[in-house]
Amino acid sequence: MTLKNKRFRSLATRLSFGITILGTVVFVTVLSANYLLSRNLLEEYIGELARTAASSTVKEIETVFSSVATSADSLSAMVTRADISEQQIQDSIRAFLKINPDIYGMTVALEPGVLHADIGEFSPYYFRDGNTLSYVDLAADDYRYLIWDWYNTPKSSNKAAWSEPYFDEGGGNALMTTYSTPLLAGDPSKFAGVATADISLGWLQQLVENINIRDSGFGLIVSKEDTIVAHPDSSRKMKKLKSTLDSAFIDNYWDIYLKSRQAHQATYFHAPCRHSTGDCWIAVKPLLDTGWKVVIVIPESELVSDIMLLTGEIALVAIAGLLVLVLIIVSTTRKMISPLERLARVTADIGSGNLDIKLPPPQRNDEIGALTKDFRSMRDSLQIHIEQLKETTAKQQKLESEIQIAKGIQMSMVPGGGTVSIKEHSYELYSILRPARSVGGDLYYFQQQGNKLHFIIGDVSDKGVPAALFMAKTVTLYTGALNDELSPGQTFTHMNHALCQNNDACMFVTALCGTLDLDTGQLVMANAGHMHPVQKTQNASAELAVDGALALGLMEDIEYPNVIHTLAPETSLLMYTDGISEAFNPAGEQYEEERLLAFVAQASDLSADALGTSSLADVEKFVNNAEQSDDITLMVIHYGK
Amino acid sequence: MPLTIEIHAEPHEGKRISLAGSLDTDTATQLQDKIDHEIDSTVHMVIMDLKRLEFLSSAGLRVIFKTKKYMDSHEGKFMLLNLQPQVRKVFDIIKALDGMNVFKSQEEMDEYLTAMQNKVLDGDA
Repeated sequence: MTLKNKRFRSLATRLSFGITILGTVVFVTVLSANYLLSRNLLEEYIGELARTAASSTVKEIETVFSSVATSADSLSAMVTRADISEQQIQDSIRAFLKINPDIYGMTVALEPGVLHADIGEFSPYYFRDGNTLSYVDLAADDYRYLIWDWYNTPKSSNKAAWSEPYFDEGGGNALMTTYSTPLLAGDPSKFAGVATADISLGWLQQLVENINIRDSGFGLIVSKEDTIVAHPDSSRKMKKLKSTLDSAFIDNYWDIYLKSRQAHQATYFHAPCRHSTGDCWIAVKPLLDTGWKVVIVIPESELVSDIMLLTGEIALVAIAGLLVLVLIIVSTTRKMISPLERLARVTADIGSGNLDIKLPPPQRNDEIGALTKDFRSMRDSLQIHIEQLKETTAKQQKLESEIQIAKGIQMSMVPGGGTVSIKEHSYELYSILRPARSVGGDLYYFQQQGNKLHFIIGDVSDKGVPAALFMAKTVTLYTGALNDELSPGQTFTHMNHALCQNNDACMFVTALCGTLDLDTGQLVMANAGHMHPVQKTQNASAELAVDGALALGLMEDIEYPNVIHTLAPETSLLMYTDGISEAFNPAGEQYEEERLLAFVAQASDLSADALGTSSLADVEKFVNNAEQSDDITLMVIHYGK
Repeated sequence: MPLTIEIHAEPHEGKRISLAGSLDTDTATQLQDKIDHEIDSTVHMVIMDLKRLEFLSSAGLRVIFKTKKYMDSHEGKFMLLNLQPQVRKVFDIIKALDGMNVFKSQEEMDEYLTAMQNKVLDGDA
């Protein structure tokens, strides 16, 4: 039970485990793919965001710059009219300031004596001071506009230009940039001064601080000469951009930055962050006309953290999904396997011999249902087979016991029950019968009547039960003949006649029989198709010729002759059946008469028992445990007197 | 060792049974079955060719005797041919060759059969 539960659990567990592993692999692959795709998508999105922020900031700045520049250009157009008075110029400046709220301050600065011979240094400057306009005369000694860049740059180039950011000490007294456009008068035109409009950089700072891209993205504005005009970190303001960067960054990225500022499109690139760890996406968009740049910086860490957050959420869903999947698999597997488990339990019971056990009914029409049905029919046929086997075994046992009884009866028909060793005054006799099967067709018999010893050894054709029955008949006939006091030859003639009757199966017996006169040593023998006996004295051993006739049972009306020999004292007579001469060893070789003769020739102990047992031992040694193929019978008579 | 049995028709309503291998307790039934099937009273002559028979046991002898007895019962002929020494020895021991037609070779048997035939023809004449 425990074992089976374990096995059952392990099947479900193995299945769940396998599917979980597979599911995990699939989920991890999907998550990784999702992460990479999201990252690419977000990267594009961030780039777009940076470019959009840069473009929109640029647009906002350009709108203001261009309207301011337009005001200055309009002012210059008005001023260059020949008949304009100083008062009119001042009125125009104030009017423009009122109309255009983007302008911080404005002036017209004249080249002395060009527009009007009688006007010298002239530069009335109006600027916003809260809600009112303040006035400063830039021609005064404490300012002297003729030496300022905003005046000299357009003068030398004859072109309108935005100045680098500067603090207008003594003028607007603010951080600003100034658009200066040259006044051209006369024919041919001549530089007659400049009209300017200022933009307070405080406004740009405000603009930059309002750029909030996600959590840590920011923007900055850099002038044409790379001065930081506006930066969320105001400590960096008015510094050169290059001075805030380390040399490694400059070496790697300054060229990219320079290229991007020449492009009209916003471009962006990837570089290590200056203000935090990791990389940043940097977008650069130049302002038209001024050569200024808006720079947008977005740290990648934000992007990564976003993706990680997203991936984490997906992973959570995936893990939950996997858990549900495992639970479903475990429960489904358990449900599917439970009939198997019951079958396994029943199998154990059947294995222990209980075939009457109730089988679980097939529940589903699937493989397990089919298995249950097959199992049922297997159990049924097993039951039938076992019943049949029991019957067969019982029959066989009965037959076996009958054969055993028959064996007892057969052995009781030969003296000594199959082995005998007797020692009398004038002779010794040793005899053994060893059937190849339970019963056999070999036989021996002897009887002493007065001073005569009668004996027979025989071998019925074939072996087993048919031979045993014929052997019984033969022994009975011999004992009958003994009572009639027939000679050996007459005995065989008589027995042959009896055995031939109704012997359609052609069973036959080869046999030797004889009568030994214990006083004289006269031996009368008859032979019915049997091997000659072996005669052994102390000095010699040889076959003793006993010529006879056909084996018993084959042909009627045969006369068997008596052959007469005389045994010298201390002579042994050895008789045997072909179970000895045709004994096979494992190599399939036969023992042969010659080997027996040779063994007997060298034997020194001529007593019946010793010669008999040692001869048999020699045969056994030769056979070397090979299966006994035929009945073995051996008889030794030692004549002692 | 197995037994190979070949049975072919011979002239004069004869059958030749050629045996090869071992005719013992295990194979005797095989031969008996074959003979029961092939030899009936229409067969007037059985020639047992033992040229390739290597071993013969008493169980095999019994089948041979039974066949001979059957042939005798309807005055058919039974002949043994080509007995190998070890097989001949088995026959010799039980003195079974007396009264049997045993031939050492095909020629010897043919001679005998021709003589028999002439004898019959002379008798008829």
